[in-house]
Amino acid sequence: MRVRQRSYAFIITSAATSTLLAAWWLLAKLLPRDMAAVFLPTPMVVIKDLAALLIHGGLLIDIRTSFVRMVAGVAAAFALALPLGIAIATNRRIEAAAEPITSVLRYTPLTAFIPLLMFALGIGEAHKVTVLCLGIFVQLLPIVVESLRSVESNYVDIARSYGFSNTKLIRTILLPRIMPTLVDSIRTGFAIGWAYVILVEYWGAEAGLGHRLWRGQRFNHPDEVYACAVTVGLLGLTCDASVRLLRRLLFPWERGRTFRALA
Amino acid sequence: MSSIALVDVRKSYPLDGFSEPRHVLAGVSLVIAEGDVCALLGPSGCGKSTLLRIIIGTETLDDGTVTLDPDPKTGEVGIVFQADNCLPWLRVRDNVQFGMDSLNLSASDRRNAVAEALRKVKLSDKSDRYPASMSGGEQQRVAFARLLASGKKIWLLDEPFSALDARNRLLMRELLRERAHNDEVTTLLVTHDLVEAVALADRIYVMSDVPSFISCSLDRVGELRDDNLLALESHRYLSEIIGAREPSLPEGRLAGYVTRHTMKMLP
Repeated sequence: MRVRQRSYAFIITSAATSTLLAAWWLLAKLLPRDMAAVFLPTPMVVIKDLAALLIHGGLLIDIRTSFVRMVAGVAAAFALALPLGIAIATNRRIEAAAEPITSVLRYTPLTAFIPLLMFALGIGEAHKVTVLCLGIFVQLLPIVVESLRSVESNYVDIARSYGFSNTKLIRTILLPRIMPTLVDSIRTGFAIGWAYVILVEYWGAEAGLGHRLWRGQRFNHPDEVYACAVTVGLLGLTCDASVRLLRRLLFPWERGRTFRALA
Repeated sequence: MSSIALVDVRKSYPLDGFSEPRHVLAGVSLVIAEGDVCALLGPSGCGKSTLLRIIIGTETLDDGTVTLDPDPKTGEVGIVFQADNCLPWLRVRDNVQFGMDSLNLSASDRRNAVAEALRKVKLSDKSDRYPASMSGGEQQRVAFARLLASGKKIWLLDEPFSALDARNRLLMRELLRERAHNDEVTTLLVTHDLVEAVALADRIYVMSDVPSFISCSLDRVGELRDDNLLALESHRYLSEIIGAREPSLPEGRLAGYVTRHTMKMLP
């Protein structure tokens, strides 16, 4: 039964993907030839370009460069958000003190700080990773706080009735409980991260997918722009699948807890 | 030594900043002596669970005093709830063992205690399972096994048998009675099941949704029996609790009477 449901889902996903590709192809064909060359190359052209870039054009180096920046940004964001989130969720005074970060920063366009950060950090790696880290951090913090707040109060009561200290409560109840959410939010981190990677690689980058994308724009190579966009999309898919697999492997206790309203 | 004493405990919730605060507990006093099982009866929403949280200290109180002996900070309190008892990331065996590190037992002694407790609640064959794959009733039995294995001196039970089928409910009651009376455990059993209260408790407190708090010991329940009809000061709440809603019943009478082991419903 389960296998059958899964293969159904696979068929639907494949059908949707093919439809999208067909629509793209059709649109590219309908446009006048000279316009299509600039705005919308067909999927086949993009795939051919992508292959060429992978083999001869150093796309792999760009992927690696962007990916390393990304991992550094996500890791730094977690390193900040986790302790601060725990402090906010467990202490009212810290919660009040952190209010400006949680509510104001979240709605402040972080892109506005990119030039300011350049004054302090230049346009090298430090600047790129800092922007990435901040961008992910402001979205990650509320996730951490919210997941901690939704820990079942009975679990906390059990720990308190056993006379657990705060640290023991955090170690034995809170962290294990929110771990799946944390692993899942790696996906959120990467999703937000890609937007910022493309942006910060506009300035002073020697390699990276964003760097290649902007260069493609500057030198009028729409195929390269598309190739980069597609690469980011594929990397996103891979990241999604890996995190999902990781979650299945790390948290076997969650199995059978998924709930689909209309399945 | 273990005992629980509440003196004039008051708690109200300011639901918002504007309306009158709602009194959940309006001067509750109760004493449970060492080795006693005390049942706290009352309809849903009357503040029983709030009282329990106040006792373990995860809920603040507006006024009054709570004295636990030994002090709850020493971790001598074991607790079982209606639901959410099992930590989902721990296997059944580890759930039973949770918190036992304070007991200074050797690893093998601990394993034996866990196995023994699981055997008592008839879940030995499921010790490797995760709670998510078990029914609500099984999870309550796991929590009860944890309580049995824990060696705690104070037991706080909040509708601990509510998800159990009739047979297992009898089994758990038997285990509770056995341990509570042999091991000088002090027990507060919160329930809305009158039969359960009478079957297990040495002393019954009745909580109602209006601010009053009536206690009667089991002997007095016997004394107050009147023509096989149980009449108590708290009759109205008691009849609400056991669901006697027939309009033909005389005001202030219950539709049944209860002894320690049986309950007879009158036609």
